[in-house]
Amino acid sequence: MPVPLALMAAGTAIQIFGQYSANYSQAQAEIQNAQFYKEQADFAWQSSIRQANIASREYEARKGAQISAFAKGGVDMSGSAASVIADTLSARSEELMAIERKGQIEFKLARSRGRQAEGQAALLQDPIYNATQAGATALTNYAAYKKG
Amino acid sequence: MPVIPGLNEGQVLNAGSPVPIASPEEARMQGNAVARLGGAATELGDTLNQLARAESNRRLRVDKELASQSAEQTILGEYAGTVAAAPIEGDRTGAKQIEGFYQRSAVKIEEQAALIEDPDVRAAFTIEARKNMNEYAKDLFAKELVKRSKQTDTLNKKAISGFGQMARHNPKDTELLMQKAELYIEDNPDIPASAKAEQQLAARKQVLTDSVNGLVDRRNYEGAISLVEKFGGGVYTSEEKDKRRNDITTARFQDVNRELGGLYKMEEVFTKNRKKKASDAMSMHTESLKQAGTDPFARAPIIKAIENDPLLSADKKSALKGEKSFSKGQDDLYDSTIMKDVIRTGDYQSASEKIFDDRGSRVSPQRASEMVTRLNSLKEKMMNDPNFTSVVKTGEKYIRAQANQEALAPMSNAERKTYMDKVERTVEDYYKQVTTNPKVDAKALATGLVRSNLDTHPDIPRQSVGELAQTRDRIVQETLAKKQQGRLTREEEREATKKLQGIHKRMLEMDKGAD
Repeated sequence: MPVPLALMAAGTAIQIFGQYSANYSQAQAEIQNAQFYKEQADFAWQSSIRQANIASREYEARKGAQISAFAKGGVDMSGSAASVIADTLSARSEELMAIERKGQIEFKLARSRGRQAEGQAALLQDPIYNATQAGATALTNYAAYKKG
Repeated sequence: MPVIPGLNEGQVLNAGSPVPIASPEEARMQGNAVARLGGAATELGDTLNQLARAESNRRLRVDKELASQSAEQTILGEYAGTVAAAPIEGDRTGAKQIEGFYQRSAVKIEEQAALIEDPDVRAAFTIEARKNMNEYAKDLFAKELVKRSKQTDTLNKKAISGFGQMARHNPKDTELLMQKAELYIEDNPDIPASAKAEQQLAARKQVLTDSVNGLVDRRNYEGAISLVEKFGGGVYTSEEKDKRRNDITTARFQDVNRELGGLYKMEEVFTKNRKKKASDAMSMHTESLKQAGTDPFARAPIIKAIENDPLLSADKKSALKGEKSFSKGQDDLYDSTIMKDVIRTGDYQSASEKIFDDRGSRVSPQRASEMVTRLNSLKEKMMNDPNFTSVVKTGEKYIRAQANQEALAPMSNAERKTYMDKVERTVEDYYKQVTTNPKVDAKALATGLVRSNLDTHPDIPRQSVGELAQTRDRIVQETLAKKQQGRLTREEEREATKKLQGIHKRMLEMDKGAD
């Protein structure tokens, strides 16, 4: 076998190995990232639940304090007093909804990125993808050899 | 302070935007480095491959060219051989050879192509070879046409040249040979009709020129000029005709000049040799006499040898023999004086006695004997012809009259003296001849002597030998210059020839006189 052909064949093999190796390393990184994105999603979900609970308890406490204050002042619980209590309850409801919404978005974002990373990793590790890439490299080099 | 103690549950936990913990790009770096290494190796291989391919292509091209050249050489070599062997008569333009070349080339190319294994190389060779063959054939065709045309021209020129050579050797057949040359061109199918008239004229010209040159070579200048006059009209232009005439005259002058120069030189050498031999003979005889001393028996054969020696003059012989020396001049003067007296007085008796008395003292014995003999015949003439004396005297007067004022005026003193001496010598010569042969016509003799000695060439300056030679050269140069300028008339030409002959004659006379 002529030296140039042998050199080109060896080079092509190394090139393909390098490409596969790069794909593998990137896939591992993508898998790690996917795993972390998943944990981040879970954390975002749990964090929003916790924040909602805290907010709920604060509004409950505030409503109890308002009622106690009105009662202590001999204020009838109808009319404006009832309206104040109603506003507090309404604010509680909006706050909880906002917290829940934020948690959902963060969860979805993390999950989405996690899935992307998983998909990228799966692609980089796909034998067909790697074989196609190796084939393209081999064919390109062969064409260059023939062209000479 | 919180509304309800213990309800403050601390910081809110916020997950925030999700961020990757690993960098895929960095993860690829090692793999990419390996891939780049492989890429570099591949590129190196590619480069080497390209170099190898280039080298391979070059070798292929060289092989192809060599194969092509080899095939061309084979084909062209065969072609050249065939053309060289082909008779010109069969293919004067070379067209048949070119056609054959095309056919053979096609076959040869196929044969050579079949030897090439690689189909690409074979196809390339075939295309290129055909292209080259075409180019070559076109070039050859043109060259061959020119070559054949030149060969035809050469043959024609050779033929015409043959007629010219014949004319050179047989100028009297000039007209016939000119006609033959014309006919040759007329009947030659290789000469285009449009060029025939021109070539016929050129042929006539060549034959005539050769014929004229042949006559000039034989020094028949008059014949050459008359040939030019007779046939030159329709052959030469007027300028060419003049030039031919001038050339012939120039050749004639050069010839005359050369001949005269040669004659003079020959005479000079002859005179020198004669003087040298005479001098040697004198030395030899003197030495012999010295060795013989006074012994009459020893001297006798030497004296006889001296008398018989043709190289020695009478004076020298007398001198050698110990007799009184008499120069020719002395004898001539004595002779002339006595004879003049005889003519003047008619007293030959006294003259005869005087000669007897003066013999050996005033005149050499030989001349004395000779004079006595002449005196006898003179006596007879004077007795028979009463007018003889007056006629002889008139002749003398005529000779002396040559030394007139007109002749002497342009001369220097030295020249005058020489001329007067010459007149005297002529008178002496005249008397000598008259008295030697009294029957001679004295008047005619005097006229002849004047013409030959004194007035033969009145237009030639009286000069020394060296000056005469210069004059001769000057006349030749002037005449040739006039000839080249076309200004020389026939009369001038004849005059110059006459002068040159006169100068030559005078130089010989002076040389003899000096002797």
